[in-house]
Amino acid sequence: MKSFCIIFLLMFANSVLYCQSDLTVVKLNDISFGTDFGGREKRLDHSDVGAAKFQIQSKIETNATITIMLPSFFISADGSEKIPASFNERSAAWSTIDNVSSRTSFDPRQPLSLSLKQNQVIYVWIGGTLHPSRSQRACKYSGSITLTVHTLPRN
Amino acid sequence: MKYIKQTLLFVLLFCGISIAQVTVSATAMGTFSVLGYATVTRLADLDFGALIVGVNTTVLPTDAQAAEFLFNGNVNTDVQVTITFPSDLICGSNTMKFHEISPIYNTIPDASSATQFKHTSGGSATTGADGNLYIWAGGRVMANKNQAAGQYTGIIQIVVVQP
Repeated sequence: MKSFCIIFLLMFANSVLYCQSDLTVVKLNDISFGTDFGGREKRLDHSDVGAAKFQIQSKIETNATITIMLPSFFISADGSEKIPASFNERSAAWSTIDNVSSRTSFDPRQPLSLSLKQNQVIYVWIGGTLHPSRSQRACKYSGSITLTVHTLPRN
Repeated sequence: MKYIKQTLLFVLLFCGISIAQVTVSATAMGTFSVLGYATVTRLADLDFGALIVGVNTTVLPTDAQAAEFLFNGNVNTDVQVTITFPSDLICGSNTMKFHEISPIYNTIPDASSATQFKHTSGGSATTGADGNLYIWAGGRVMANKNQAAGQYTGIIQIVVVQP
């Protein structure tokens, strides 16, 4: 019984460590829409410098699903003011290399399925559009984008 | 032997579950700074036309030849208008003295019913229900007897500060 527990604990530790280190997601850039007047639609393409940028790295060959939690609004610091945010089928892109020309656009509102090779790096960029009203209060607004990668066994 | 079998079975099951489903995530923060909505448009330049040497030529803000600007910003809002006139009109190396006249403003495009600013440099005014504020500016010049012929120009600059 004692040996069983020791072996079990060792394997438990190994399996968790193995899984955590095999897949990583790192935010490389925050998303910045800059500064502009109210009443003007502010669009940020995924190829713009201010776009959000993530790096996904997998050490194992696996199938992955990428889901992105997008903000419906950018909100003022005191929470009293909101700017609607929108995203479309070309707001995001991914690539295996950090380059504009090789990107494949996708809709960040929909899950993206990818087959990851061993030791492969995937870059993901996300833009979007803000719609400040003409009467929008002049101040700083913020929001957040969360990218989640969920791996599944490869058949 | 029984324990070893149980251990292997348990470990395989456990590893299978762990490797099969891994979820990782990262968050990017987003920012956007909004400036109050406002535009200023030049609707007309100030035009003195052809001058007669030795005679003062005046264009009043209410005249059709006056400079006209349109500010559009927040509705029914007090704004601060600052107008900078040129001290001289210039033609190459030649100059002609420019004399300021207090500009006028209105919330509708009608100079005849406009209100005069307290100072030649402008002052406070209130936008209309549509956010509009029209501003007209005139001036006075005189070509002296030795004035070189040519087209004299200068820049009138308007700055509107909206809270």
